[in-house]
Amino acid sequence: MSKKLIVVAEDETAYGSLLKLELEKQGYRVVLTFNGDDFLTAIRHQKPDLTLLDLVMPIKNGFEALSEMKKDQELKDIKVIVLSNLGQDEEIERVKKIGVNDYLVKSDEEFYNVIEKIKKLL
Amino acid sequence: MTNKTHILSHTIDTSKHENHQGTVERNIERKLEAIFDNMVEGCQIIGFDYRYLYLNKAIIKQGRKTKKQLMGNTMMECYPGIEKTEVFANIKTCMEKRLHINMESEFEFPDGNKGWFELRMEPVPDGTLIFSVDITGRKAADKAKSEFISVASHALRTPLGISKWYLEAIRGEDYIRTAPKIAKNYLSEIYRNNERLLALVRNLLSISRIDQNKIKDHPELVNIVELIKKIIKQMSLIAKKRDIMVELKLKGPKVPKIFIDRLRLQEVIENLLSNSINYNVPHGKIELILEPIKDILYLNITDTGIGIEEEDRKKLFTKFFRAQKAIITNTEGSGLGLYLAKSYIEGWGGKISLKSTEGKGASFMIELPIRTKHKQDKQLN
Repeated sequence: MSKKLIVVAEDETAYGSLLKLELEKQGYRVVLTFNGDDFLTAIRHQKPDLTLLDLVMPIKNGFEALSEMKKDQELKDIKVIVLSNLGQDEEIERVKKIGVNDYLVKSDEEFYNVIEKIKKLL
Repeated sequence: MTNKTHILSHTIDTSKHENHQGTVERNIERKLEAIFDNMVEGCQIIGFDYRYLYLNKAIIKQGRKTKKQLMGNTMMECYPGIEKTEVFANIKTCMEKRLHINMESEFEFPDGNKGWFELRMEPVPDGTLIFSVDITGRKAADKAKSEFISVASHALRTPLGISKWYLEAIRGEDYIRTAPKIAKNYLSEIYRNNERLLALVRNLLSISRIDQNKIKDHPELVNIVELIKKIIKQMSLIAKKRDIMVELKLKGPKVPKIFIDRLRLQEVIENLLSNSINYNVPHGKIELILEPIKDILYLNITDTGIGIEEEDRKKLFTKFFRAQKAIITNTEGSGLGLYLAKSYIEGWGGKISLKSTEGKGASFMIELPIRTKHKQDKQLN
């Protein structure tokens, strides 16, 4: 059985590489992208099983990438966990309105809890 | 008496001058005119037909039109579309129902520019008197402050969050599990202090949002008994370390589920309980008593700790305040927990109070209005 694919959009390489390392250990394939544009290109080509999306990113931020994704018939059903350090009500509500599977504030979540939540969605 | 001073005279209680004639009265008129004309606050009187009857210098400046363009004309002629605004609706209410109204509003001028104004509307015999302060600068500063805090908190959370995850990851590695105890202790200390910084950033953000009235409640039905049991369990390790006994007692009728923001309630109880542990004496006791009486749920948290000096009790719920004895006993507090607790509780329509005898512990009493979802829905309807 082929490994499930996760596409990560995260401009902070420290976060991205740790996620990639642990998720690969857990048996997933992980593709890292560093901005919203590259993220959209990656998910268009690779049709992942799950995406992890940061919000504050260069070139195209997570809000924009998510909106575009949800308007695209081929991409709109791909699962999304927002992983951000923005934790204010307005930001969470704005993202939930567009539609995501989960919203996790990175600095409030324990690393292995995040991994568990990812595994549960796959 | 001129029309202007007639109106102005009604805005200030001049009844005691009514019997005076001649020079005295004219002097008063002139003084009143001078006062109103030169006030820093904008002052205008709108007649019952919505025509401008009086405008002082400040309001001319705020209104961005000349006195000639405004005087004697209606508000609708001077500012087309104003009749659709909240400001106009309030002027109408003040005019018709003779009510005092205070409001803050953003106003769009015909040239497209916008300004924020704080308005105080008073019914007067000739219509409505409006005092106004241009708060555009203050609003811009508030917005900038809010944006700064949001950006700063994100900028701080990112490196702290990265450290948190890497510390958790390294603690999960086999070579750390088998490392000497001292190495593990060092890592724990780094982790604990990283968490302290994260909590501080979180609290600062919460305070900034309270100051800007931006806190949004997310109420849900909460079983407070279960919540308290969960918190006690979470904190049992720290309490055990200090040999402190924590006990929950239920009094009176069955405690109903209440409609409240779960996370904030949890934060409040955690703050109070952790204070009771941190400022307790070794082998001390903490008692939590929960009792519903009519529409109020009382939660009393009593400890056998160091207590709070009378002088400090008054300041205890203010931002960043820490009692001298508290600083000596526990250096780690931020002075924000009780301020946040009070802000949240009062926001829910409740109360928090304190009884303490120095050296003999403290007792915090929380009163929460019992709201069930049903009641809340009714209120919304």
